Amino acid sequence: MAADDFDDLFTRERTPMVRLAFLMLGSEALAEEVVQDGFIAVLERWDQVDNPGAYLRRCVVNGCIGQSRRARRWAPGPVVTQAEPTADHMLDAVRRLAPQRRAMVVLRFYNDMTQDDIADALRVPVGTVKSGLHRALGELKEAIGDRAR
Amino acid sequence: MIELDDAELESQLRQTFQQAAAPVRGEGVRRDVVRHQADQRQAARRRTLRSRRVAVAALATAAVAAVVVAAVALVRPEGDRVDTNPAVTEPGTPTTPTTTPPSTETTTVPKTTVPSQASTPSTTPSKTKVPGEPPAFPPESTNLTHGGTIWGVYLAAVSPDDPAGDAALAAAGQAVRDAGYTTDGPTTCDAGAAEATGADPSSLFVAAYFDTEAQAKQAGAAFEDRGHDVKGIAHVTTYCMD
Repeated sequence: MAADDFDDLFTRERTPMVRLAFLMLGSEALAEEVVQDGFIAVLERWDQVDNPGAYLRRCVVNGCIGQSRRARRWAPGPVVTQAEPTADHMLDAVRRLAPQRRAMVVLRFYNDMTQDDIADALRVPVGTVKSGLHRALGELKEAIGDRAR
Repeated sequence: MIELDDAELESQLRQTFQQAAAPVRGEGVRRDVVRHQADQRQAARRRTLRSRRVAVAALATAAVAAVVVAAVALVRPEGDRVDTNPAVTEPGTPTTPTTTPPSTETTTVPKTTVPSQASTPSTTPSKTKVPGEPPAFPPESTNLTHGGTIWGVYLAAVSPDDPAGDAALAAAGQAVRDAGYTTDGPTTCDAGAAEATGADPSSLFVAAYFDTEAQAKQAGAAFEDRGHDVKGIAHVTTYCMD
């Protein structure tokens, strides 16, 4: 294994991966825990994976989904963010989505991933991503509308 | 009720995500912790794998031994002795007049006809030394604890990638057991072993453990006197026992 390659991956992906996990989990501590586990998984299989970056992202996303399912729902505490109050409403609505739909939304609108890439990352058919995103956006519209009333 | 079209909603999502994620740095994820935990998991996995191999080998050996014993019992009726050397007879066995002229074979009993005991070192550590005999093995430590310090005598230090490593580890393990010591098999969890033996930190080690430096040196001498190569003697900290 080329140690430098792992170091490069760590340096390049640590912050983006923690941010991605944070958006899915709502907790920086939990996000760091999931990302750390992801890096460990990558390091253990370094010689066996073709694309360590993609593998890391898959580990992180799956770790977040698993973590969310274990927690059943998002922690009700305040989110540490400097965003506007309206952004808080939006984040709150995102957090109420089912874990897999939430992952789709974050990957699509934070990571700018295509539906094909999201399907690959989540190991689901593209059709599932399309319908999941469609329903997620519908739920978000409804949630934001309810807030505004 | 506010009606958002898809484009507005997507735009708001992108902006919200960027704002929310910006303060997050992820500095709690540390490279050294990642590496340490990955090493520990790999070491635990290797130990499990080797333990399974040892168990399978022991079962296979036992099965072969059982088959051999059964086969011998079948081909040798009770009270009958198979003797490959006709010139060597049991005392009291009636002899018939020989028709074969004596040869040199009759005066030399081939080793294959005589069951011999392997000349292995004493299997019980003893504290006395008989003149002319190899140095005695001191008693091993019974104080192996997670995070504890102890003296280790290392008989093998093998890189995981070494194709001949398994044989070296097995031979070292056998030497440890022959000396009457216990071993859980190869380990990667002795901090200080790599430095003492000059081996790669990821190496697998086989060792016997002692409470004092004097005992460790005595054991090292005893092993070497019996032809075993001692890779190093070190005061180490033992992990992976929690």
